[in-house]
Amino acid sequence: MKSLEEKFNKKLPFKVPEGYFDSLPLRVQERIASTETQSTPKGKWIALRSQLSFAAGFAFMAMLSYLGYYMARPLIADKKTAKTDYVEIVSRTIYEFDDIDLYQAIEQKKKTDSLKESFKEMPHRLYVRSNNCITIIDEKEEIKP
Amino acid sequence: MNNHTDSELLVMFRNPETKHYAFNLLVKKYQERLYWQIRKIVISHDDADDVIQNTFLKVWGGLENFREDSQLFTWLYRIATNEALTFLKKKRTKLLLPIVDVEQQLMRTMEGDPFIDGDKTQLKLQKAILKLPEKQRIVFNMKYFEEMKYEEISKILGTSVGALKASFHHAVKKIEKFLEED
Repeated sequence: MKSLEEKFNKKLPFKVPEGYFDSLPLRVQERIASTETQSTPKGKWIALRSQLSFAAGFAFMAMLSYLGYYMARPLIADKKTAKTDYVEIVSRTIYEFDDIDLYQAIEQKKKTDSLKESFKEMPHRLYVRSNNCITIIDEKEEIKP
Repeated sequence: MNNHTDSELLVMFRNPETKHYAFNLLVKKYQERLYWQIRKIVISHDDADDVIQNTFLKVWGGLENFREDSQLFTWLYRIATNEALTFLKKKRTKLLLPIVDVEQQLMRTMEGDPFIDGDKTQLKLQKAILKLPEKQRIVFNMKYFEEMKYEEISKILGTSVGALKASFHHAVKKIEKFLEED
């Protein structure tokens, strides 16, 4: 400590602008006056006004969103509650289906069905099956126990 | 000249008619001592000017409830020190700076502030003080420059006398070491 005091004096290397301490009390009083203005009812109203206008804007936007939602809601509900119209869905989804394809499919079905019927009628016959055609070769004898 | 005692000033402050006058006298009485306490912490004059105005605003707001069981000067000093430390903390947070960078910034202020003048040895000592941790720096400044008693510093900083003695001892050793290395 003593060595510090021997080497360095205790003077600070700082200075202030000329007349600084003469003007400081006045500036402090001005700051106090401005904060007091803010804390008076009028000052509070001025400070509150900007906050209120912001809040009003926010409330307006919220109301618009609320109204928009509730006005659109019946449409959404209708969509949800409407029964499924399969005829419409089919007519919309199979628009590429051709009438000719339908006839061909029906014919094919008929042929297949007639062949199956024929098989049922001739369990004791030997036959050769080729494309949609059955040729009876022989008749089997009935095996009796 | 302001010859009013603290008690007289407080009585005048509690009277609405003399409130502003009393506060004006109080500012005049303590402004220089508080300013230099703040200035040693924040270094720059502009920052010290901001901090001292904020300090007096706080004093204005709290003086009504000030209890005379502690000295007015101790109370004012505590507010000023806390305001200066809060200012540095805010600066650090605002600029996202670590403690070391704030010290370097204060060091640059020491070199570039127009309201700093002094001989080389004074600047050298101040730069060495800036290398100390914040609390040690404050204790060193109060003891070395202000020549305050440990009991007084203890009331202001809320630290025990023993801890302050140890802090000052470490600060002196570190400063001597910094100065030898420099």
